Amino acid sequence: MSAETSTMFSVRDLSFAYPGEKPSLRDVSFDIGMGERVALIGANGSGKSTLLHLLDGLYFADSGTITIMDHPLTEEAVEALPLGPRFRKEVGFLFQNSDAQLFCPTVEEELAFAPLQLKWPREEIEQRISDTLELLEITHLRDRTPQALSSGEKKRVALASVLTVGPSVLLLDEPTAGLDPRSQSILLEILYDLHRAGMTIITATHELGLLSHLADRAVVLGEDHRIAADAPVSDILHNTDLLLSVNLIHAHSHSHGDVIHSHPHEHESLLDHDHRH
Amino acid sequence: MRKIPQWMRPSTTTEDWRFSPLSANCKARIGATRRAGGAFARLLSDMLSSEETASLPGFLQRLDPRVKLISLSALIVTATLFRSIGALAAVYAVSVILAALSRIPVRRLAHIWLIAPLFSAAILVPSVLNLVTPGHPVFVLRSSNPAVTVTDAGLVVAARAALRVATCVSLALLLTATTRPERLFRALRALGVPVVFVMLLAMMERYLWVLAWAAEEIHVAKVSRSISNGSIREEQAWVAAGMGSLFRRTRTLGQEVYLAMISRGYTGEVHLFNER
Repeated sequence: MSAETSTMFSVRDLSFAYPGEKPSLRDVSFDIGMGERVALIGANGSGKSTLLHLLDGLYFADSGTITIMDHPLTEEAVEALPLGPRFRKEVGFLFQNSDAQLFCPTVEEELAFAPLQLKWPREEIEQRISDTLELLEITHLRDRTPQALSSGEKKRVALASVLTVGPSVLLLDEPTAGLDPRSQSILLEILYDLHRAGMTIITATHELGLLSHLADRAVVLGEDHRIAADAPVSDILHNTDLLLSVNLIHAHSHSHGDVIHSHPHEHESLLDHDHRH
Repeated sequence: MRKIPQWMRPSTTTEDWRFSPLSANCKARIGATRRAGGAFARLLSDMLSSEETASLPGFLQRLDPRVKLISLSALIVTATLFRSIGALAAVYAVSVILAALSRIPVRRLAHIWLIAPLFSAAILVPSVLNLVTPGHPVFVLRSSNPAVTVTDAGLVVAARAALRVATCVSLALLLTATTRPERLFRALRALGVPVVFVMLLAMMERYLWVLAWAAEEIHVAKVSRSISNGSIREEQAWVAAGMGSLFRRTRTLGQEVYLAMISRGYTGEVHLFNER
């Protein structure tokens, strides 16, 4: 079995509800291959962020299964040897809220957090911290406190803190949300290079304008919390009816001179109102 | 294209994942502190939530919030005055009956027995010892001079205190679980509580949610990056770091809320739209 065709994650008939709430996911099934770049897209509240938490073994399904490299991802397995430590080393999660992820007093401590748990030698950890800071162009932030950083810097530090153990899978929750164009561009470049190096990257996003930069394939979650489509990104972006039905674009009335008409459109980002027809 | 360090390039092969799932001598050991951190945030959210229970067709839900506020407050004061364990148990029984009549889930009241001892342990633990409450020794902790024993009178004092806390918290929970916050705040104003206290309570109720979820987020983010279960000492250090992080965020949030108030014209004088 070649590395490219191996199934990394296999999700079958997955349903999940937060305690006392309506289901966030219903009968979700899909596979993600090793080295693939997949986006989970859907409107707010469709369950894409919850799905990432389930793939990271932070929440566990009410029904259905998730396997990683054929190992069932259960609470018991994730907490025990031999799967637990390997799983946490191989799968990194970039949270949407960087403030939640950055809990150490300095950037350097953040980057050392995971390697220290593997009890690696100090020199090895030092080397990895330096390499990662350099890669993400944040060497100057090494001694800063995370709370004093800008949103873009926090996001890069959060990514760096995940990369120091060398994961083979990255789970990204709205990685570009709220970033300025330069920070966004740097992050997209880094993610692309990591993918070229062989990393499996799974991104939850609702920013269609950046979708083709983030993924080759998209799994679309509808507002009914079921999978509405699973196809190459280019096919998804050309399927206007699908995007309208899952509330990722909306019909918009506006005027061109004296003519008022209505048609679907999408926003380039949350920050502006540029749109394409 | 950036130069990705060699060690960062995924080198995992399918062979690396070929191992038996769980060996018999490697049972899952879900860290107690790890679980407790997340459970506490969820418990707090659960206890604060009145969205579902306040709209149920129950006995307390039908009462005017002012009547409810006065009568339940009177019961709380009564509970603090009783010294007899039997009398306290009777008031607690009243709170259970009221909960049943108001369709409040039993688990909501049961949770109090998890939370109340946690907060009152600092008082309850020393009170069982002969150093604080002299009495007949029930259990000897240290026989040499000075002897440290658990006394029968100390156990009675601790039991009375625990029952009193649980009764008072249960009655307060009945009030918040059967009344929507905005109606409760209006009732407080109607009974003459100064507007500034009511507004502080309202803000506290609003932001306690935010902080409970912030605590949960920090907890989940830490679990996500935890490769192995740490020792007790490491877990304790993490809890302390998490509390520090939450404290910093509380302070930042407090400053932001205050600035947001100033930007909308706040000058130190509080006005409410729905006073009564």
